[in-house]
Parts: sequence; structure tokens; C-alpha cells
Amino acid sequence: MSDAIHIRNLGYRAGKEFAIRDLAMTVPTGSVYGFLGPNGSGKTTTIRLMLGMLPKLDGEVTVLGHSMPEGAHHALAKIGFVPERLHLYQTLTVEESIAYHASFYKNWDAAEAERLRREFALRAENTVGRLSKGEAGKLMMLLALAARPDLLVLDEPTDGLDPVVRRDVLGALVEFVERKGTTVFISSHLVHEQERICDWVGVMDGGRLVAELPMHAFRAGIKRLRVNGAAPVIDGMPFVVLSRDLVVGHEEQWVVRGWQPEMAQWFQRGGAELRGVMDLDLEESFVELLRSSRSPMPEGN
Amino acid sequence: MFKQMLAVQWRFSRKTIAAVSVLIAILPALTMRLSAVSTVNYTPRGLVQQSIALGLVLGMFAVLTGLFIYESTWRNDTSGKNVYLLSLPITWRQFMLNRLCGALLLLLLPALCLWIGGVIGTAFVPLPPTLHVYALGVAFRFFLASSLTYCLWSALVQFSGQKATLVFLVVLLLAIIVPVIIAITGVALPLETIFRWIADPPSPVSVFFSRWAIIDV
Amino acid sequence: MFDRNRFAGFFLAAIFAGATWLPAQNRTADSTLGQRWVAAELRLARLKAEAAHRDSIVNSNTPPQEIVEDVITIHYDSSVIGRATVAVLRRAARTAASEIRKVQGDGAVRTIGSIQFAALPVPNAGKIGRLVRLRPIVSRVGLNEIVAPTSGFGSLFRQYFLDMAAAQATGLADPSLASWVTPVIPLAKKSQEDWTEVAGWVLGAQSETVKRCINGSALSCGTVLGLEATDDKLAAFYGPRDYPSLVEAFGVQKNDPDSVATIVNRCIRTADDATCGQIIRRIRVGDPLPGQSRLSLVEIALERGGVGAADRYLAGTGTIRERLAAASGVPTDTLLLIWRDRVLASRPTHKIAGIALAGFGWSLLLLFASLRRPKCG
Repeated sequence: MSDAIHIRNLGYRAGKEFAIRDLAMTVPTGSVYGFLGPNGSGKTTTIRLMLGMLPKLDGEVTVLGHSMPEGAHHALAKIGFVPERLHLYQTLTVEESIAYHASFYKNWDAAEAERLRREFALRAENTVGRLSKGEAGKLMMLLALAARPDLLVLDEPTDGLDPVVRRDVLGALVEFVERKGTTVFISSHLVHEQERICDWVGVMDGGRLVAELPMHAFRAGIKRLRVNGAAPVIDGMPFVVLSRDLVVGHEEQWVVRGWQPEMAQWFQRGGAELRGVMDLDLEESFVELLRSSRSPMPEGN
Repeated sequence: MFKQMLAVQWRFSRKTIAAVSVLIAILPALTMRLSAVSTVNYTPRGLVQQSIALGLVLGMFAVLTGLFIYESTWRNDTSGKNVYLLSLPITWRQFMLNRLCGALLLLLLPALCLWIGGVIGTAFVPLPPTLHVYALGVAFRFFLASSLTYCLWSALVQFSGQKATLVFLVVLLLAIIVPVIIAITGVALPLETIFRWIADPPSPVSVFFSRWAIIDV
Repeated sequence: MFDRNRFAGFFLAAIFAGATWLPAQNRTADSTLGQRWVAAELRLARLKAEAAHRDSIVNSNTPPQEIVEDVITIHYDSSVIGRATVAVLRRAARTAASEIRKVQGDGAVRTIGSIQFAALPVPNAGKIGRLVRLRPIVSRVGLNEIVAPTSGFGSLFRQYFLDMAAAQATGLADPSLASWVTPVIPLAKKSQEDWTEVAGWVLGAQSETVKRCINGSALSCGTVLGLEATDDKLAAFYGPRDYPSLVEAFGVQKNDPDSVATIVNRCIRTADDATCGQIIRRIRVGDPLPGQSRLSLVEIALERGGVGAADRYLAGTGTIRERLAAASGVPTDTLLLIWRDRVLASRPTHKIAGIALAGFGWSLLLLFASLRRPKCG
């Protein structure tokens, strides 16, 4: 099966400060892809480029088999999109918003929309502008899910929501994905949330994708090592050193990617001593990854 | 989809449309009534002059109606930075066409009110046989002028900063620099011909220069 | 299935088609008057064909354009009403410089090289002046060519000299003609807008006599155009139905006692003949049509009369009726009915199809101009 999203050499520039350069990304069909990155890293811009809302400078973007932005209207018919901020018309009621949105989608599931509206406790006659942040988030999720999409693109869908609402929204999402097997592309800087639901992770920083790998590899492959007596420059390491800090005396703390237990022997052969291997949680891994992408280790280390 | 888009446009602009419709529906009657206070016995020439003056006001209303309806129907999109409309599965061309058709239907309402208001407002005026009521013609002009304003504004707001600057510079050139050059060099301008170009079809503003008198000879 | 594109296309097409057929501002629904207009149109068409035929003959004898263009002086003199021959233009050139000096001062006419210029002030521009190359233009009223100046000042300046020329022509004419209409002769052909204005005066006049004229009475047309002796203007121009309006407009003078105001108010309110009759005689009523409408009759006469019509009109003796008949070559009553037909044919017609097509066409163009997909953010 082809990939749900396929991006190659994507380039975009917004003013003098910010640019996306040579972005390549693949979201497998049926996956739940977590798109991580700090604020301002280019996540929302990438999503807008992906959906054809912004004109790309160069590169190619294919979403659900449609080249973007030319095939945007075909692709968007099969995409449920929840943007970062409330984008609906403020003066319409919930009912009017649903009716308006439904009119654009051939696969609209009115019964599902009504079920979700009740489940989310959204009053039909309330105007959108007067909804609380949580209610607005629920409404946007409702509109995205009731279109029965093949791909859900969620841009910070739970940002600023209280834990109860976040649980409701994510619960509805998980239930939907389980039922329909939809591909989900979820952007967030809330790492723990991603850890629970994603099976692929992409990390964005400064307009570049610094890592893209399956969640299990991401979780298991990044370790913190305590190393004593290592030479300043070592060649032929079987793993990638993300950071290397002196702790005390000759003892150093390394953060490495691609660690396997049998690699411990490599230290002995090099005259160094491996004193301990510690697991990192996703957030720590994410932070270390960003640190290393911002100040990479010199060649040979 | 068109029905929903129309409903939403109506929802956004209904207050504006209602206000404009009521105002221009009562304006002819009000004008005739005001004239009745000062002139019980309408003179034909007075009536025509009064209608022409009313036509000027209606022309201005048409421009304002086009602008207000554009603004009220698009404000929600522009304030939301167009994110919503760009996320909808529809081509921009289809979207605009639907929006324009919706806007034309909405702009018909004030024009219809003007027609009815014009007929009613002039029904009680004892017209001499040389004068006639042209409420439908004026209402049609109103519709045309407001639609044109809507489309013109729609095109202008789509301009990029560079294009807008270019248009501004051209207008500046025409309005200020050209008259100065003419004054200094003494070049003769065919003013009458220029005026005809502006006032007669196919000039885009010819509708504003046509007869807007509800009562005319 | 509901096809939105097709619907939109049909919708726009329907508006286009409907707009061009909309009977807005067409001619009056009044059938009698309508029939008369149709007849008037036919007559007008015949006249146009006749005039075109005459024009073609005259054009063959017109002096070459470059000669007209090369005469670099202003010329205004009643003697040029006639053919703009080379001799006439040269004679005009000899007198023009002195005329300009009279108006603008001694230094006004300058010769640079072989070309004469008039030094003229620029309105509202302080000390800034301008040298304007002057040359005459030849306009035609019927077959009578009239040499009038033109310049860099455009139509405004031209009008200024036309007015002077007209004033001079009036000064040369005999008093009876000058008291009937001022200026005595139109020096520029009336545009369609000018005729529309005349139609507005005639059709908008509050006068029983004007209404009779509109309905086809040549005598009434002659009366309202001042061709008949009218000692009693009230009786000549107005009927009882006109009284309330006249009373309202002119009824109360500054020093009138309250009793007059009471009667005036009663007349306005009730339109009662007896009440209005009490007060109407106190009023000095004016003509129902402005003097300029008389000039439109002269224009018709010159158009009809062909070569020499202007000279016959200006040089003739006798009543105005006789002069107009001599100039036009048709009986004055016929001339009056031609004038009436022309006036009725000149009432403002409303080019609804033109403006509708232009309006919708531009709307569509502008729509296409706005099809650029916006960026978000």
C-alpha cells in the first residue's frame, strides 16, 4: 500500500527568518504519526504546506495519492483536519456549523456527528464564538471525525485543554482509529501524549526534520551511558553519540542513539569502562535529540 | 452546498441587508413626502429634479451596500486568516463562484425593496402625463452598481501589496501629476471625449452615470 | 444530481439575458404619445437621410483640411457664418489679432517664427501664463459652416470665444431678433445631451400651453417659443390647473398682508379655481420655457435650410416667424412640429442593455481577477 503522506525536498520560506529546507517525510498508511517539535519549529507550516494551504517553494508533496497543492480539493475531501486554533465562523451556532461543514463532504456521517455532539455535550444552539476552549476543541474534532476521513491531520488538537476534555477528545480519536483504521498525523509538543498513541515519530526543529523513526526504535534506541576513561576522539563507534558531558574526574555521561546491549564490549576494546546504561523516557529522548541537532558532536566522536 | 453557503452568507449579512433594504425602501416615499411638505402642488420639473437628487443618494447607497455586504460576508474568513475556507474540499474557483452567486442573490433583496418602495412611494404623487415612474429601472441600476462594487472590492482585496501600490501610483499619477503637467505644458486634453469614455458603456462605471431618476420625463 | 457549476452558469446567463430584456426606462406607456413618438422617429429618420445627402455634397466643396488647420489665429465675426472658404479664413485672420488684444491686452498676441500665439493667464495659477497656439475650427450647423476658435484650453476656452462670437453676432443683428433670443444664433451644434436638456425643459414644464404643444399643436409651440405676441402671459401660457403651483412659487411677496397669505395657502391646499383666481392676477408670471429652447428652434431652422440659411435668418426682415421660414425653407408651423418631434425624440432614453452588459461584463472580469487563491495566515 502506498504511503498516506509522502514529502520530498520540500522548501518554503516565510520572510527572512524562517525557512523549511529539503524536508523529507513519509507517513505510512494506517499509522499514527506523531509530529514532535518545539514551538516555532515549523510544524504548523509543514501541515499547511502538506494540505495545500500555503504555496511550496520547491519539492513534492503527495497526500493520499494526490499531488499538492494541485489536487488539494480531492485530497481534502478525504482528510479530517483540526487546526491549531478555532477556525470556524464565530457567529454560527454549533448546529449551523455542522450543517455548513457537512455540505462539503460526500461521506459525511450525520448520525455519527449527532452521536459525537451528544457525547461531547455540545448544545446545538450555542454560537461558536461563545464556546469554551474545550467545547471548541470538541467541535473541531467532531467535524473532523464525522467526515469519515482516510487521513486525520491534527495540529495541536489538545493544546490548552484541561485533562478531562483532553481525555474525551483523545478517547474519541482512539476509538475512531480503532474502528476505521484511519491514518493519523498528529502534531504536538506534548511528548507524553504522543508516547501513548503514536507508532511513528518525526521530530522537527528549526524548519528541518531531525529524526523520523518508529516509536519503539525511538523509545528503546536512545540511552544514557556512564563512561569512564574514554579517549577524547574515538573512531568507528557502532552507535550515534548525541551528547557527551564530563561529570566528575574522568567520568563522562553520554547520550547515544541506536544502542544495543552487545555494544558494551566495544568500550572494553577501546580501553574505556562502561559503568552503567540508563533508559530515557520519550521527553528526555526528545530533548537530547533536539540538543544534539542544535549543537552536533564533531566528526569522529 | 450552494444552499448552505448562501445560508451562511445570509446569516453574516442579514442585519446589513435588512437595514439597507428598509432604508432604501422608505427613501422614495420619504423624499416624496418631504417634498409634499414644501410643495403640495408638485411641478413636473421639480419632481424630476428631486428624483435626480434622490438618484444620487441611491447611487451612493448602492456602493455602500456592495461594500458592506462584501465586508460582512468575508470578514469571518479574513479574520480567521482563511484557514477554514482553504481546508474545505472545494476548488477556489468553485468557492468564489458560489460566493458570488450567493452575493448576487443577497444584493437582489435591497434592489427588490427599492423597486417596491419606489412604486409605493410614487403611487400617491399626482404625476402629470409627461412624467413616468421608472422604479424598476432604478432598482436594476442599484443592483448592477452594488454588484459591480462587490466584485471590484473583491478583486482589490485580492491584490498583493505590490499590485495595490501600483494601482495607487497610477491613481496618484492621474489625479495629481497629470493635471500639473497639463497646466505647465498647456497640452490640450479632449475632456469631453474622456468623459464619454468614462460615462458610456462599456465603461465599468457607466451605470453610475446613467439616469437614476425614479420619476423622469 | 445537483450540479453547482451548471447552476451557477445558468444563473449568470439568466441574469445577462434578463438584464438586456428588462423594459426599464423605455418610452412612456402612454399609447397616444407613444404612437406620436414612433411617427416622430420616422420623420426624424427622413430628415437625417436628407441632411446626410446634403452633407455629402458640401463635403466635396470644403476647403482642404490643412488650410483650415494652418490658419493660426482666432477668428470671430458674424461674417464667417457661411462657407469656411480660404478667403473667409484669411479675412478672419486679419481681424483676429486686434480682437484678442481688446480682450487680453496689447501683449496678448505674439508671433514666434511665423506662428501666432495668444499669451493667456492660467486660471487659479497666480503668475503662471501660457502660450497657446491658436487656430480656428470649423463646425457646421446644417450646411452653415461656422468658424470658431479652439486652443489648448479645451472646451472651456472654446466656449469663452464662442460666447464672444455669439455676443458679437447678436450685436450685429437687428433689435427684434436680439430681443427674441440671445445669442441670436447657435455657434456650436447642440449635442445629444443638450437636446435632452431641452426635452427636460419642455416635458417638465408646468404649463397648459406647453402640454398642448407636446400634444401636437403648432400654434401652442409657437406661443411657448415666443413667436406669437403675448401681452398676457398668464392667459397665453397657463391654465387654471397650473395656478396652485404658480401661486405657491410666486404668491406671497415680502410686504403682502396676512390676508394674502391666507388666500395663497387656501389656493395651494384646495386648488380651488375661484380661490386661486383671486390671487393669480397679482402674480407676474414668466415664460414656461427658458430662452435657450428658442435657440434650439433656430438650430433646427438652420439644419433644414441648407446653404445660406444663417445669412437669410440674420439678414432677413419681418417677424421672427418669417425669418425662420425664410431660413428653413419650410412653413414655420411645419418647422415647429419638426422641433417638437425632435424634442420628444430627445427625451432621456436609458441604455439599459448597454450598461447591463458593461456592468455584468466587468463584474465577471473582476471576478476572474479575484480568483487568485489566498494564502492562509
